[in-house]
Amino acid sequence: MSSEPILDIHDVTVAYHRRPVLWDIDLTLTEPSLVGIVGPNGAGKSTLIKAILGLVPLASGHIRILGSPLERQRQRIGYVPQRESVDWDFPVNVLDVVLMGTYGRLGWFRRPKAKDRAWARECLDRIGLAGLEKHQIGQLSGGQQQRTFLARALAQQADIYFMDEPFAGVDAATEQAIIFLLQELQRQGKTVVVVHHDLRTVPLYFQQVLLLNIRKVAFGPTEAVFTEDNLRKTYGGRLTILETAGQAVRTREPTP
Amino acid sequence: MMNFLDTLGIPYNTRIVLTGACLLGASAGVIGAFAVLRRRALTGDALAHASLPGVCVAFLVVGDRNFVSLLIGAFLAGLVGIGVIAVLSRWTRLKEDASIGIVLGTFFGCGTVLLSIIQRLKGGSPAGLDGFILGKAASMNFADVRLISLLALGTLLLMTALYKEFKLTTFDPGFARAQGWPDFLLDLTLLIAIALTVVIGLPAVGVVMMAALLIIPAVTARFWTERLGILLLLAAVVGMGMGAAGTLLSDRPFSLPTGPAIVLVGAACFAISACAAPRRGMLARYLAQRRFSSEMEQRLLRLILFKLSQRSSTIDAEEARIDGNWSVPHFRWLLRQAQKEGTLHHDGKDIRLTAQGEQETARADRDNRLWEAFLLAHPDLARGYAACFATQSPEDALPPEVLKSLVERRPSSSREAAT
Repeated sequence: MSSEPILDIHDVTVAYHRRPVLWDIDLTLTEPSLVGIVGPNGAGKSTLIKAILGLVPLASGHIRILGSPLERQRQRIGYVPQRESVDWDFPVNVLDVVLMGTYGRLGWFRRPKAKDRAWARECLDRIGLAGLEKHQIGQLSGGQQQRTFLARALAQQADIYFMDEPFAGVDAATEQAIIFLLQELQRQGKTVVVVHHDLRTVPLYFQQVLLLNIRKVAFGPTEAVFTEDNLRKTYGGRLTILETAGQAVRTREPTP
Repeated sequence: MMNFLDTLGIPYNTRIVLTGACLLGASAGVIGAFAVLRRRALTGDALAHASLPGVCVAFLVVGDRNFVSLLIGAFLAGLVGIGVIAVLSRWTRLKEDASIGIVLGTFFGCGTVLLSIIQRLKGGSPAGLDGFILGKAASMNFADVRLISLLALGTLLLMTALYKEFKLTTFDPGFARAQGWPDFLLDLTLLIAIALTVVIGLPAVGVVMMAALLIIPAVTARFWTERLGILLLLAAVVGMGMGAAGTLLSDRPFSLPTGPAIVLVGAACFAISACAAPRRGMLARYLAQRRFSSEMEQRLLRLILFKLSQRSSTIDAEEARIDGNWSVPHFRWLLRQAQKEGTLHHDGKDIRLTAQGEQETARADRDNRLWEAFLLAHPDLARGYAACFATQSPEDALPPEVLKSLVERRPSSSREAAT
């Protein structure tokens, strides 16, 4: 595993109705790390994650995860979709959702057992949702719903995680809980790829960053890549965003 | 059981049909629940209507009223209808509901035209095929019922075996696919299960009413539970009850058409659930809404009383009433409530707060200012906490560190709030 790249994306183009939304993406990730994907709206951030997970067809190119094609690595991949992607009025409770993380390992027909339930509870505990397992998911606050999705990903026991905007619209406590979890995962040598929208926190949270705007603008260690020049190339002339970004670059703090 | 029904005077033939109708109802309830949760309810309707020409063509080809060939004809025609819907939605700019409407009408129209042709060929008799339109449980013999029961049992077992898989891909298809589940295949399995249930339901329930047997048990059950497993169980029970009651009503002395009888029994269950169910029912929702409005008004009253009480310890009632824009009788009602809670004394003209009232109004004012400070400082979080604004104190609702930052921050420094 150590010699093989964790994620190898080669010349990937994705198109919807013959209009490319990702153009010729080429990148190789070798070191386990926390990776942020940033870029303006419509830059293809979510699409890139979906392409890696095989949820949207590639117009060209290929992707290898941990040295093999995706299909052989499904059980080593964790996924946190966007919170808005599901119906939160669905008749399941918090523990049901977290247990879904174990389904991949269980395989066809087998139901979760007491041991899986205990593991799901532990995942809930680690993300700070202990005691909420019996709540219907619609009763949760936005932050709690997001944490439920994270607990489900945690229950997958993956080696590489893909998270689509986990920080969108969450409260401070949830943001803290997620960051704490990401750092714990990193300490365990796992890789987490996160679509992120808050430029100010990029240098704080991620060791590597991908600047994306349909094509790859830059990819590499955050301190080398997250520069005002690269941000201008990514966001163009959107001054208000550049202002905050510039501020973020100037006040960059050492990663914790 | 059989002896019990015997003593009730239910004849053998009806008992057979009853068993079949119960199994059919249970299977339709369970499969319908997944169909409804997957927003496939109308697909079932289209399938049912689209199967009528299949029944007629099978009759014309085979030449007699062979039950199995009629069902196979119905099944194939139903799938063709679904296929046309898929093609229309995929390759034209039509939305799915419009495609469903077109297919449903066209196929059903074809079916009725073919029926009248058959009627003319057979010299005035529709050869018993008209039973397929509104359903005629009594037209089935023992072998027919046995076939229906076996198929219903089979689909029920399939759904039980694949419960976990269907639960996952219905709730979150994207996650399911990322985890490696064949979302398309599971979707197709569900579609075929729907088609099978529709087809075996046709002779008893009829083309027109079949979709209702899929939808009503699921939506009725949804009123009573928040768990999928219990929902499926309840839907099966409701479906079973619909099947049984409808069959009995279609027999003597009532002699109603089976399909409508089944659906009307279900509609009654649905209506009762929709009104009376706790939490999700309309009555419960209305009461909760009323309680909420009255809480909001008491809150407003407290804020106004707090403001006025800062000027003098006796408050002019009329001034408070105008401030809150209340009508005289409504205001009097609000005051009576507050008086009952021990918040204030009211002598018709002046209002005096009790010690408890002074605390409560001061607290309402403080909560209000804290919420406003929160909205200024964390506009991005506002939506997540909107449900708490009116009824909860920020001190209970907000995470401690957010609350601390609000208390420490002076309300005027909104610039600071942005960092």
